Amino acid sequence: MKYDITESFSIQQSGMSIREKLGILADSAKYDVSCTSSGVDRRGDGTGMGNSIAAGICHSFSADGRCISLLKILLTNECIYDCKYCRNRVSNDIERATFTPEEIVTLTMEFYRRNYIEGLFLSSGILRNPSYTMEQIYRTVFLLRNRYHFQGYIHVKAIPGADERLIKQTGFLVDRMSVNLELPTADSLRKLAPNKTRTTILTPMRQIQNGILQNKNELVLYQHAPHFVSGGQSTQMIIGATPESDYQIMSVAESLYQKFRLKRVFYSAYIQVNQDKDLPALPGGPPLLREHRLYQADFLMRFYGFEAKELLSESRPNFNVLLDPKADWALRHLELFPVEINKAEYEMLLRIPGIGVKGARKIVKARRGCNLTFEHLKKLNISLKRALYFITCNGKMMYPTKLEEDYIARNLINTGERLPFDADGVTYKQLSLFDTSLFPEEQSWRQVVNA
Amino acid sequence: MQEEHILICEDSDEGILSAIYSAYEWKLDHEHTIIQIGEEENLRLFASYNKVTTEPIKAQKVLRTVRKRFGENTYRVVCGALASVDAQRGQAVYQMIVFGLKGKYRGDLTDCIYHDGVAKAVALSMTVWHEVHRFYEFLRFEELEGGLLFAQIHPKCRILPFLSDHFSNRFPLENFVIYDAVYDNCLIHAVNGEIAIVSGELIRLEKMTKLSEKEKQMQELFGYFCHKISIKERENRKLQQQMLPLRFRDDMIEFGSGKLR
Repeated sequence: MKYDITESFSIQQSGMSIREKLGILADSAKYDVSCTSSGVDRRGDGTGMGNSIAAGICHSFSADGRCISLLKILLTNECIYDCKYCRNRVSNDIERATFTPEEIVTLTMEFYRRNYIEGLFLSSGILRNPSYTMEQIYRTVFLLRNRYHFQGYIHVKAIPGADERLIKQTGFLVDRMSVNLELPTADSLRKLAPNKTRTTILTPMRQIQNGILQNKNELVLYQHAPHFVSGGQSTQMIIGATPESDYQIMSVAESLYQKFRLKRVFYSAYIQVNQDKDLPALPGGPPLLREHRLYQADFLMRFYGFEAKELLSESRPNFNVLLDPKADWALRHLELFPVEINKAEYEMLLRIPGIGVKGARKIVKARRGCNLTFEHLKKLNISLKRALYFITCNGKMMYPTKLEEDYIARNLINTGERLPFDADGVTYKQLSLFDTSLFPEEQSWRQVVNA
Repeated sequence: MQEEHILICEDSDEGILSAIYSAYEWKLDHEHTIIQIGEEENLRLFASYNKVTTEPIKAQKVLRTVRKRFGENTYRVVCGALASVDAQRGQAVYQMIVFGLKGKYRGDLTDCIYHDGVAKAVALSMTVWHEVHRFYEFLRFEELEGGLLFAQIHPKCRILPFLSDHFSNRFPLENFVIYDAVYDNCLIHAVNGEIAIVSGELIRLEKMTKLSEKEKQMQELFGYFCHKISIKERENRKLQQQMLPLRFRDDMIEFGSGKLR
């Protein structure tokens, strides 16, 4: 595993140092959301460096509170495409740089060795053409895996339009692949990303899905067959750049999970990096609360057995700003509550506000030994201040409680939801008497109370 | 009133486990036996105090029984709880083992959270394993002259032994040292696969201060990367601090604080 870094450090592209390139290409890559290193459990075999832990490891957190798990960089920010929302669009006059595969390998190995990162996230602008770009990505990953015996986590982008064989070969070397859907609907894509079409994006996605399925069958027969994208594939959508409703977005996500077997769909609150007549002005900053609600609903779909049509509908296309989607659903279905903790099925426990996947599992295990009381639930760290309106223990509620929608809604809102930011998406702000922007969705609040 | 037996043991894993062994060896009434770590200032009336000598063999026997009877998960919880700093950890583990050995419940004890001892031990082990995971994340190696990797940590619990498997599997071809500055212990891993935990006194730490040539450059590059990867429009220091508490930052190079300078 001995390697010489001095060689690659002396390589300079048009007089640019590796530090300058890192600055430019990290800056360009930061709008990609995915930085997870989870889903793959692989122990090192002792011949190289690295392993992978299924839980994922976040090595640091940047000033925006997002985790730094992988060395997230672009291979190049030169791009022949002209997507209006993208910082790297060809018509933007920004500094451009391109890493050589050796430089990326050096940075990855040296950072990993010091426990700064969990692996590599490699994306790229389109250099010359999609296949050429994909080939550069493949070369980098090949070097890492085969010459330097790197066994950590690698996530790369599959470039839409690239040669199928290149995508397949790359898939055998990496843990996760992703193709960005960019925008939820084909119309929006046509409007904002004239060089991309829905078909070119979905083709590699389908190819990876089929590859994973085929590989699973192979692994059953041949235990030591190489793994193909063992961490599954993910995608990303930009939220707030186009007029789609939350319901449309959730429906798209749901069909991606069902039809393309994706591991994750990421939502990225649109950040204004370009000025263009087709792009919305966002004076209040990126729509962080909306992004947060979409993630909450996404988790409800993946782990809690909810369907998109249960959470939203054509007549109620957007999420409630004041209540999380699960509490919102529960309030609209009070006829199902209260639920008896000692008897309810696991699937129903998951639907109670205040009880998560871990909590529900703990309840199911603990109630085998004895009849649970509220004291026991406290020991299990169940959030009773949220759950108490919806549950009974041995036929009794915790306090005498009215099962009325507005009464519970008021109380749930009073308990306060823990948001990663203030409700308007700004961390600190002077309150003004005339500032109505703090109550942007008064309507949906009224809907809850008056319904 | 029934007399209480108070077993005073050494403040270590082996001390606590020896006391548990002794409680069974001396056939004490488990309902009225308390395991106390170290001496207490206020003595109780109607209690007999017994000092337990630490014997590694007894400790191993207790652990072996736990593993055999209750499985890997309970064993993990016991090890985790013993590494915590709570004064009641000995009593919690003792109660848990007594509850298990009564034989009313078979299999993984950690499911029986309704039992006080089990609940306490599980909660303690959770804090320890969370901290272990934190150090998987936030530990930073610095390369010294000669290629040795050195890291310093300031943990709350005695987590050093729990780091050994993760890091030795991750860096099998590296010589590295992790120094626990709070409990003054060193985890040493050599390329040939040998691992040892030794007291800090035996290591000449003052010799491990000279960084290699490229180390400064790498630290600077990573600090720069962390700065560049943040999105200004989303800046949220409160969230950053929630995810990465200040106490870890003293040993993290991207916050400008390597340990040796």
